Amino acid sequence: MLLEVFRRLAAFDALEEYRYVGFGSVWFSDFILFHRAIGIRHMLSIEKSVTSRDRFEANKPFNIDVDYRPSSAVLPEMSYDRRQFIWLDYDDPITVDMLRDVATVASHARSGSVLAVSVQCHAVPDISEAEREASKDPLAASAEERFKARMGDRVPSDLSRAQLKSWPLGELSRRLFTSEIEISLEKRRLASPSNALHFKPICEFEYEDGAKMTTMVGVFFDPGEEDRLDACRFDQLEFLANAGGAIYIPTPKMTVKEFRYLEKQLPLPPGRELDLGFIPRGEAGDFAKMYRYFPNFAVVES
Amino acid sequence: MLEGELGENEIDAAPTKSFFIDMLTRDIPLDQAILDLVDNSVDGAKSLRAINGTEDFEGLWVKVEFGRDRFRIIDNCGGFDRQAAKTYAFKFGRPEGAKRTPHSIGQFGVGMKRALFKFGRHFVVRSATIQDAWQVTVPVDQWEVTAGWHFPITELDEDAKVSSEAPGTEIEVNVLRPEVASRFGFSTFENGIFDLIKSKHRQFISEGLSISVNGRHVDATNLALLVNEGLNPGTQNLRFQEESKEPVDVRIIVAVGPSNPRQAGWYVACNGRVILEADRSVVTGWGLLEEQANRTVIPSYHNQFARFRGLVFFDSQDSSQVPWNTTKTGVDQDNKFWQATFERMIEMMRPVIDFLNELDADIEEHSRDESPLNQFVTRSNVINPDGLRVSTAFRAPPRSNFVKGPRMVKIQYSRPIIDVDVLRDAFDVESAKGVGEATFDDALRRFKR
Repeated sequence: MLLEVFRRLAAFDALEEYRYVGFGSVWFSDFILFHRAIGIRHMLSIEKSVTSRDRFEANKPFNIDVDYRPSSAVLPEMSYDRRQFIWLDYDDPITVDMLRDVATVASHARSGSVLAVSVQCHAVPDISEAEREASKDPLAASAEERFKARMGDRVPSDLSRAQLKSWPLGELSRRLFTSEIEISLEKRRLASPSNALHFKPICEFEYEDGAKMTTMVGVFFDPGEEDRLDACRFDQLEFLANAGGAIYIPTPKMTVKEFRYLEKQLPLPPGRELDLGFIPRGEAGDFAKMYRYFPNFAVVES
Repeated sequence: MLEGELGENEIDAAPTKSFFIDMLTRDIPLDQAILDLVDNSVDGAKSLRAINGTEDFEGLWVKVEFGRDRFRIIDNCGGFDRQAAKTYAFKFGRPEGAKRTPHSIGQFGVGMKRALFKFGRHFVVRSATIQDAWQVTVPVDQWEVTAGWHFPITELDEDAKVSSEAPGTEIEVNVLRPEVASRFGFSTFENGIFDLIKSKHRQFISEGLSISVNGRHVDATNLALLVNEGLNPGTQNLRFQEESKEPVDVRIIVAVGPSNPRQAGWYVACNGRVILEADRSVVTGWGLLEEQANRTVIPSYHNQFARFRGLVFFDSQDSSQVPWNTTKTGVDQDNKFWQATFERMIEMMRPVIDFLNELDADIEEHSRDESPLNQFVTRSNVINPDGLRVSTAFRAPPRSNFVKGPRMVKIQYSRPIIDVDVLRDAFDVESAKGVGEATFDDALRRFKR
């Protein structure tokens, strides 16, 4: 899906001019996808695990720059001369460091840059920490108090426990990221009005990859380049169809054979229904709409 | 510019209005300026309470609203009359002999003006008592370039929200400075103000005053102090008096609280208005604690300092006698009553810190789960400091009361996992801890007679 968003940026500027910035992993799968599918040439992988450096260098599929430091060190220092597609794919639930990363990007980004942020939203660690402590000390700080202590004024003090896990946490996380971006842009605007940018959200996802995850995507633009933004037609993205709020991406449990069986019929001619064979309807679900986006890299490679 | 008859050897040192405004608004942060306005409403509430002879502030409210476009504060706390407006509300500085609100918190005569000039370039103040109603509108840009330091006072607008039937004060700033507008629009700022009011006006809220921020009602909080068999907070009452001035009553409380690092430290209030909360700086006794420990003492969830609570209440009918600074953000350390109080705070702090160190030692020896002293503390009851009035010494039980069986010492060492696994199988235990205990017991059997 991010590929689709990235593809549309071509209306803003030539994609070969963009740089893709992401969080490595030895598979470099996102880099491979973006390079092969849309010809991205400038790439930076941020990889905080210095110990596996040799393994990374050995697995680099092509000429990708890799910076072996945490994002908090790289993002403030890297070049923002190019328009960029930055995907901060965090594994953990939201932290203040992530919010600072996002603020850094917002304060430096060039118009036409896209920022995607993914976080885990299963549960914040404050919950289990509070539970552990509560068994020994009934007056120990609650999960909400601990989370508030970490986040400071970003969250109100009447935060509810329900917002600390599952999809409500996902929603809270996306809102916190958006606020952080808005505040950073506002400070940027006040300090240097000619350098001011706006941020326009494009889409938000919820999905389950073992743990519940959520992603938000948006684009920075200079009001002077608004026509280019409109030309991208982000509102036309197929998966946004009945949107408003986050889109839930199901992960169907199907065999490779079943996947192929359905895929062979797509795209569906108008009026035709998908023939499910022996696949339960529950699994096939929104296949027709979502099939192109399933993160099934094993299938892509075979 | 002001015109005057200057002699040849005279320098006109009269300040320009813009310089004055700049200096006036510079020394107050935006959030404290909002608190100053709430303080004025609180003073109105206190006056009403005194006049009506009621116990508390039930039925009285203050609403604070702000956003990118404007700021507004409105209350139903009695308002103030034209006379007050003329003699001090709109004067810079409080003239000698001006009527003072007993036990007030807005005493420096500058809070309202400072806040309004800080926020923006056009403001309106409307107030109504049961007998009088008026308003003052100030278009700052115009006012700045006009000669004379006066403000026109007029009748209330038709659509005013306050009146003699609904006495109170309404203050509105409808042209905000850009940087102020920007901050008023941040949710972080709103959350910050909400939390500030919650802690600074804690006492008034608990006495029934209803305060809301952008429609959200600020609920009361209470500081939790622990009591148990043989454990109670220490309380001391002092009184100071400057000749021919009103006396100042001081109450100091020291106690052990829940293990919450954000709440650890000293709380100082003047006439009910909290000035310092959870202070851990050199200003209060915490600084000395650090000196003695010879390092920075940062309370965390698992160290003993997270449990320290100190409270100091200064009260005087004459608010110029209590030791706060002009922005109510700290204490005036040069004030002699503060200095005398400070000595007492240090003395009272000592036994609490000693107990907390004992608690820490007990946890070290037995582990947090097993420490009998820690179990005692976590099973204590919670009380509210408001009920602590009588002078009492801090008491805490000695560790020796809780000795469970023989004294223990912790043994800790590392061994390769492969080897530990061998012994886990051999002794049929689950954990590394189990291996440690089983092998120790085995060796002991061979040597103990």
